[in-house]
Amino acid sequence: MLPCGTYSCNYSEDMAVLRTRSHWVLLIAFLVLLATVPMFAGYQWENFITLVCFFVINAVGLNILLGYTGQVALGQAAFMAVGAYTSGILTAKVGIPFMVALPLAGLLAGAAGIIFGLPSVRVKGFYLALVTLGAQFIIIYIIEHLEITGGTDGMTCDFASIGGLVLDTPTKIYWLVMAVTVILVFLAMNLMRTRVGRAFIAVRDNDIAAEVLGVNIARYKLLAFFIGCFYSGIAGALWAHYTTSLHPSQFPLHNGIMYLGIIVVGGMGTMFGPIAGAIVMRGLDEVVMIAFPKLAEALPSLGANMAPALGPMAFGLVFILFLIFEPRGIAHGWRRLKSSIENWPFAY
Amino acid sequence: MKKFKFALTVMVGLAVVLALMFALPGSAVEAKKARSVKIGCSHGLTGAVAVAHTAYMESMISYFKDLNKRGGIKYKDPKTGHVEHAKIDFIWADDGYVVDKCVANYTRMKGQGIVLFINGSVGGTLACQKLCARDKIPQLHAGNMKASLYTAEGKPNKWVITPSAAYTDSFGAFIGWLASEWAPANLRAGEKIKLGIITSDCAFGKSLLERSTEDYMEQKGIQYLGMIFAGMADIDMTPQVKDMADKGANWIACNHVTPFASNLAKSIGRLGLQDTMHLFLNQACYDDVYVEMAGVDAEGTWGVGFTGHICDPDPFNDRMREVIKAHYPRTTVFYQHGLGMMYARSVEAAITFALEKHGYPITGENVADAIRSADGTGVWARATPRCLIPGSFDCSDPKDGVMIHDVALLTCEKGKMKVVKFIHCPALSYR
Repeated sequence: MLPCGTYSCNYSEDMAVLRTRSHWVLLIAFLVLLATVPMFAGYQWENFITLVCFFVINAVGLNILLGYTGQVALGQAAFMAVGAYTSGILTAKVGIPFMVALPLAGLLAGAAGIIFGLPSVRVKGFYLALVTLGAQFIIIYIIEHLEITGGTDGMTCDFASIGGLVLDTPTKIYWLVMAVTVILVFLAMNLMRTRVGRAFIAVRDNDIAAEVLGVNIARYKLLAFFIGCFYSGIAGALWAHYTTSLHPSQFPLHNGIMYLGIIVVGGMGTMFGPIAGAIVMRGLDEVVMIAFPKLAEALPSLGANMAPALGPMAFGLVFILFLIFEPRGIAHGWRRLKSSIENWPFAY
Repeated sequence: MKKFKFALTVMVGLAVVLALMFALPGSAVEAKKARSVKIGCSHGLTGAVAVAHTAYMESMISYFKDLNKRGGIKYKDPKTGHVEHAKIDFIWADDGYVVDKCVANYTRMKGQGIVLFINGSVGGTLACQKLCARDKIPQLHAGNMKASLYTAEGKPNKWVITPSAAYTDSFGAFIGWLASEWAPANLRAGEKIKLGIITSDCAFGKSLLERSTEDYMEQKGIQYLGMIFAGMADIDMTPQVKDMADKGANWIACNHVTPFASNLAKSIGRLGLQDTMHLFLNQACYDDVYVEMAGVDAEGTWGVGFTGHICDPDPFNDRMREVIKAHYPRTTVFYQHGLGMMYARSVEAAITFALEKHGYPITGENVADAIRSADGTGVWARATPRCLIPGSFDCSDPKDGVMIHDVALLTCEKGKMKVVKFIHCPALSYR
């Protein structure tokens, strides 16, 4: 909802993301805030936001695939693994600079996405979900049995370096991950305002109607898989140089489902949704990891197994509550909250 | 509906505020206590290995509670010469055996000021390895395998320490016993030990075997039949057992979690092969839960346990058993608790040693320095009961922060676990 007196007089104005001066001021203030977090917040905040960024990149990618194009995908963690191992191998074993390895990691993950997305031309819904679930097992199996990846022993790589500057401290890593996240979110936001983005939405809403209108369904579905997996590959490459060690167990199915949960909670088909979902789910993770041990200490009879077991239950409960009471996610709730504030004291 | 949505919004808001509160440095929740040493621990209390990791965690929690109740760590401050006390502030969390959660736990705990990080998963250990080295925080872990003990360049990783034998080493101890004692007593002349491994296709499952282990088996005249995989949650492993039987196996070895081990024992039993095919279970799964789950099929199977396990005849363990029981009345898994106890005692010993060397406050670097500079009578000698017995302690290279020692050879008789003897680890991981 635009502020009173702001009208769209032409198409570009209608499509613009930032319409008013206050929008620009808020955006610049927000970016400055993000860039300066390490200067005033502690190590924990820095790391919390870095980890949120990994979630955001993956969730934005999945949102393009599922939220905008309607293609169910459960193998995002495996595509992240493709990106992570590509970047790890290229930098540690081939000697390619990180800045070259990063986009290559995304491209290779995107290519893997196209391979596993091919069945999407024929199948959809639950069947497609099963195909992408297969990607999770096949990719991890391949990684576990290749010598170059170190198999089940894993492999190590160095911290990322850009032009001789080694990004080996949490603050430097934060800036790298944050910058990449902002760029990727910006690109995704713009992508959805292009012809491609509208074609994605058309495929999601009614693929037969889209085809009748001249949208090449197969091409756009595969393109969505490529872009979605490209994002996961980039997240994987950043993760590789964040931990500097790689192991197949870092990319379990659990994570793929978590990314799905993030966009469900955040709100599918919106750009704010994956970001909000990532913050809430990561925050909930932190709360669970901190609060339940404290609960176990307060109530020793719960034991060290009962109290932590409440953690996964809390996640399950959040999913259920959102699916029942706010199936369109936080993004929708936020929009309603905003409009109710703007319209106050009137009901509408 | 509106009320509920409002309540939901408030709940989510509260959750975020709570997260912020706990994460904010210097907040009321994180207020520093006088003379305390923060130790961080991340274990898989939910998920695939919860059965073992919960037991480790329960014993560590109760051990440190008991220690703090007794005044904490008593040490002589090197600066003042006075006897001082420092309490262990044990910060623990569940990572569900998921690597990124383990990394998140580590980074949060690092921000809280821990000087030692304990974790349990192989993947988590590898993921935190360089982070711990960068932050100069020693990492004590249970996933004892070559990849975690050595850097990519093949040098000992001086920030990784382990108070227990690596999986390959305890297996090596068993191989030695098999060739030197079991075979002469049970095999006819010319007959060979034919051993195969049934496990799952993951780092933990495969950690029993390294190239040095294969060489060692060959050296001891054991014919190795290879590895066959089963799924983590497979109940019926008869196809895998049949495969091994077809290859002529008279021994099956396995390193896994207790449910996997018991299903394997049951599969051998189901095929009626107990008399011809013997089962060996490595340190991670031979415990009293396994005996209970496998039932009659556990009879006559073999295993090894860390010497610091509660099976070790030490009066200290009797007292600690009571402490654990008092904290966790429903507990039955005492063998795995013994391993947690060994962690806790190692931590206590390492911190005491560090405090006596560097005084208070101590840093992760000082703790690592104290551990590395300890000789055979130093940190680890105080940590595990077997080490207190003269002659039974063999430290491979204290500078590496790793230790090789004896393990207990166990078997099951009439539904009860029994320590047969102590056997020596051949240090296969460090070759």
